[in-house]
Amino acid sequence: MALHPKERKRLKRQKVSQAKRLRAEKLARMEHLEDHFGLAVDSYNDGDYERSLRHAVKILEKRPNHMDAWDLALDSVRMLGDRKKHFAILVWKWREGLLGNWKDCFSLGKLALDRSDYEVAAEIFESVLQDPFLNTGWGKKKRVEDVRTYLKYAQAMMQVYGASRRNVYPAGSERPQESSGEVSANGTSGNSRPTAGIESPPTQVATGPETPQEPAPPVAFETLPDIMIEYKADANLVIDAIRQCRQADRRSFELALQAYKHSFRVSFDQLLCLPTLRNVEPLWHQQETARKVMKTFRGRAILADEVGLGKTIEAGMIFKEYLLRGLVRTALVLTPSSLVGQWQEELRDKFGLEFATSNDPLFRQDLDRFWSQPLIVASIAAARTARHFDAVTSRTYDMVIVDEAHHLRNHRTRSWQLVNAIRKTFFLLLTATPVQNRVDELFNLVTILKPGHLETRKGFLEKFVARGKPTSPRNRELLKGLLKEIMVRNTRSVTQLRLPPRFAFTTRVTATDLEQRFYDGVSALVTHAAAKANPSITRMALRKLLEAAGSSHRAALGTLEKLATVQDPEIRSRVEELLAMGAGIGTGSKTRTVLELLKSLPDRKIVFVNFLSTLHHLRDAFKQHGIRHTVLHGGLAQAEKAAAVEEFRNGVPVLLATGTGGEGYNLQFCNIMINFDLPWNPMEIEQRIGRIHRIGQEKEVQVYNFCAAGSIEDHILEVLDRKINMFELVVGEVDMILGHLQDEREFSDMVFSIWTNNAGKDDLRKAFEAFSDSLKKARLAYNKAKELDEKLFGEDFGV
Amino acid sequence: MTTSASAALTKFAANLIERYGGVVEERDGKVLSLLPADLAGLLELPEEAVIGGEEAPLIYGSPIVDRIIRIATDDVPVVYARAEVQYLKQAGFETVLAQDLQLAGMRSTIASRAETVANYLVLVCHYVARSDERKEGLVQVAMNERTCAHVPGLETLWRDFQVEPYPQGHIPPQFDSSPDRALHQALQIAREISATELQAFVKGMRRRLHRDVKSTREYYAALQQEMEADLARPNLSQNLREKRLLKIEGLPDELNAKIRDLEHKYSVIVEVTGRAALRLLVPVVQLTIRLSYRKLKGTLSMIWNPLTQRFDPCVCTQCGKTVRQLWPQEGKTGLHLVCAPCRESAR
Repeated sequence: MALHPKERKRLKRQKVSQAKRLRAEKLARMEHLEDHFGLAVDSYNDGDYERSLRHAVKILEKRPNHMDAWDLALDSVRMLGDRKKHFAILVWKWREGLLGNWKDCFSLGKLALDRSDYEVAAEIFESVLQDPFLNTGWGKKKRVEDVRTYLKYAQAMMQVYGASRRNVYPAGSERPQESSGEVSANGTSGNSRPTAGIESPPTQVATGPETPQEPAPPVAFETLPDIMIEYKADANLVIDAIRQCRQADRRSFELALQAYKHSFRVSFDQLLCLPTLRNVEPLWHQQETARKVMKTFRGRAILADEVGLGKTIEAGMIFKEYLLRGLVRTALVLTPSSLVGQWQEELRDKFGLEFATSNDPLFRQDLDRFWSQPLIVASIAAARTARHFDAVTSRTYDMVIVDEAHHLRNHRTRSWQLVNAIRKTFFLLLTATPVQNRVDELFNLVTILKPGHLETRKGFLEKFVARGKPTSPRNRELLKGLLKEIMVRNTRSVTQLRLPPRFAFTTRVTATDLEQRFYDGVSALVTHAAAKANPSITRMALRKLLEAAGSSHRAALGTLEKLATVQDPEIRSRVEELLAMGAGIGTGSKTRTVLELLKSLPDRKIVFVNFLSTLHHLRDAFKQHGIRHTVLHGGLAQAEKAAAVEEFRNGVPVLLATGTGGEGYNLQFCNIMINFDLPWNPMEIEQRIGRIHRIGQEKEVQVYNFCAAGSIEDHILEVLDRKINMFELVVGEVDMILGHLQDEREFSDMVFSIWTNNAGKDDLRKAFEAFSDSLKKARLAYNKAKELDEKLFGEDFGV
Repeated sequence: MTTSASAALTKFAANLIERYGGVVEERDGKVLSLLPADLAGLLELPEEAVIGGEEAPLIYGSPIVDRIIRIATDDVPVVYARAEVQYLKQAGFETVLAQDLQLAGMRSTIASRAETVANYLVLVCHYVARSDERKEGLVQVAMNERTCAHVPGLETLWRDFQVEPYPQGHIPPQFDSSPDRALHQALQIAREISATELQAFVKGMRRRLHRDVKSTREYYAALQQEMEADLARPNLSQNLREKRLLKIEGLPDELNAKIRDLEHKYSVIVEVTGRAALRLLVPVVQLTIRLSYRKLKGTLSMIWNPLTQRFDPCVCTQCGKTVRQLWPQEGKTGLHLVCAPCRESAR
């Protein structure tokens, strides 16, 4: 039906106006989009990438083919460093069919796998397989096969875990914090577009294992965590200066600026700790080791220097360096119980650091307070017990040092589990024998330091251990290469730390009848009181009395006098009897023998004693016999000590010293040492020897030991000198041998127990023989381990 | 240590000694010095000393260099000064204004011009980033104290002019005794600049974190596979099987703990601290600009800075951000000038 002309005109007008409106709307939309684009570009140029991304996304929602907007969006997320948004935008672009060639799509699929977005990954790989370009050209077969393998994997993972598994953190566990300044925590799934909701909160759902039947989720293919950054800003110093109207001149201003710039030049090459060390001059290999551990190993390493090259000094330097640079505030040192005190002393005396130790009363009184101390030295044997395990592992330490780390060679031990569970930033393992019996021990040690560095146990055994030969490694070069990334092992030959030999001479002095009766009386008193477990006399006091009797009758008398007031009448009467007996001894046969030796030796010599009373006794004897001497003991002031050493250096023939008096002084200009008495702790004997047998000593060192025949010291010397040749070992080796003993007690405790538990001479002899045998075995085990380590590592791991 | 670094250190030591009243003579890379008693005490040296010699080697990290640095940075120097300017712009402001400021959608005319003095603050901040290593540096930020606008470039350009410090105890009243707002704004900008300077450092840490996390995850994934495969062994007792299952279940927790260790190890703490300041009075030209936007009218004060030879940037009246592009916004009190994001969020 023909329309009325008026109606036709009206319809035409209507059409024209509609077209006009549509054109205007389109123009407005375009202008709007251009506005967005302009704002996006401006924001990008201003560095506001969040905003620039928001505008780009708005454009793309309206015009998905706006390629400039895609570029801007991708550039913005790149600048934001937000991998999740980046992934979401790439997936979106792929869905729009604008991503590019099959290679880009394949990479995106792999990215989706990494993010555990299996459904998206499978979809992408399927689309890649459809791409005609994939199936053309050289290498097409392998390409297709690769894509199919990935597709299969994605499909398999979908079956196991569903479409996606987005969170590595099991339900209830803490998610690492996102940095405040760096990256926002927004996340969008690959299945959705990052529209305006790009700023919505993360939609991650914890899907960790909920029932024991469900297999534990695989731990690969997760989003990598980002760095946590925390900013702290403070202008208070300047505000205070302005408020107080403090006015500086321009020169001070410039000097301050220059000073700061100069202070930045200090890198790890320049060790800040060196001027702060006391009583120690670090050797070049120790300094180089400290540098290497910090620069190359970034504070996680095995320090496996040969015995006596100063691993403790190296570890102490590394710790002090980090402390001075503000990178470390808390530390835990785990050692065998016998070394706790030694570590505490070294850290205090050489590094000026005060550590709480498991020997302190606090350890027994208040466990919570003890384990919350910032700096701790603890016995690993104590720390691994059920009583302490949770307390040790419930906090984070900036640095953990494990001494004698070869005790961690078995991953089934409680020690290994403890150290593995401790949360730590920097981590040092100290051992002279990383491998004791089998090559796979190395795996346990390295894995605790850097899991996966030597692959898994199975992989390690297959790759690096010869079948049926647990002490022979395979693929040595590869293994060495891997170990070089985490281990330093300096050897004597490389460090050129070769000292002249040392020889020991032991003199067993036959006591006079009175001396013998006196010693036997003291010994019987000690055995009796120890068996009685008398509360008025501690075991420590009894040990001290026996040690004093072994030193000199004067020292024993001094100690007995302190016991004269005990409540037990029987002990008191015995003490009084002994006091009367000892007073009649006079010079003493050991003193006379030593006087003869001193007169016969022309060179300078040091006479070491353990007790101040013995020192006074000898000083009187020297004066009486006209022997020129000078005295050095812990009670002297620093200047007096230095003067005594200087006198000795300048020609006084005898230095009479206590063990503590000689500490910190280099006395290597003298090569003869006389142990008038013998400390029960072999480490103390070593420290005495170490005063003269050290770098700078040019002559062979002679050590003269004196003891009364039949005394406890006689037995100790028998064990240490005859059975393990302690006096001819390298410094530090005794420690290693003692470390191979199964007994956790200190050496001195062991000998004291033998002495007090075996009253008869035969029993005593047998008990000491058994002890000697165990020490011999320990020495053999140590030698075996040393040989194996030399064979395995040689000189390839030095700095 | 390079020769130039060594020479710079020697020069620095000599300058410090002179500043504290000592007499110095530089010879063969050493500083022969006569030190006043106080300084000798601080440096732990005799009053007549050879710095750079065997007894007091001038090497980075040596005790003497540490002491010198400590003395120089012991106080927070605040210098009050006036910049002497030979020439102040008289005409042609329109062109410069058009280059330095964009007034979106507004009409503007210069209403008046006057020569005056403006206060500037150059804040020197020290930043230290601590992760498993340390990086530090200095950043300097210049601010207009009144407007709290960041004036980029001024922190170095002032050195090209003659700057006369005010004598001790004669701080002119033009200086506000508590410019806290400007200081905090400056600190904020210093933080942003240090973040830029630390990009490479953070990137390095991120790379290491990713590398270590990846290898740790790979290890645990392989370990889990191995342990699961072991479960298939026929001679495995039920007891042992349960124990191993328990261990396998514990692996994700163990892995997470290891990853948290790594995150902690590589996390970065940045401390930005104000360490010195220069407060400057600078002769400037101040323009009053009349603005109109639709029916709204307003004025804007702009400062032409002879040290930067530019107009100082403006500040968004809403967020306080320094900008060179202003947008009009109708407020209760009339025309407000805001930055693009603030305008956008208000729309």
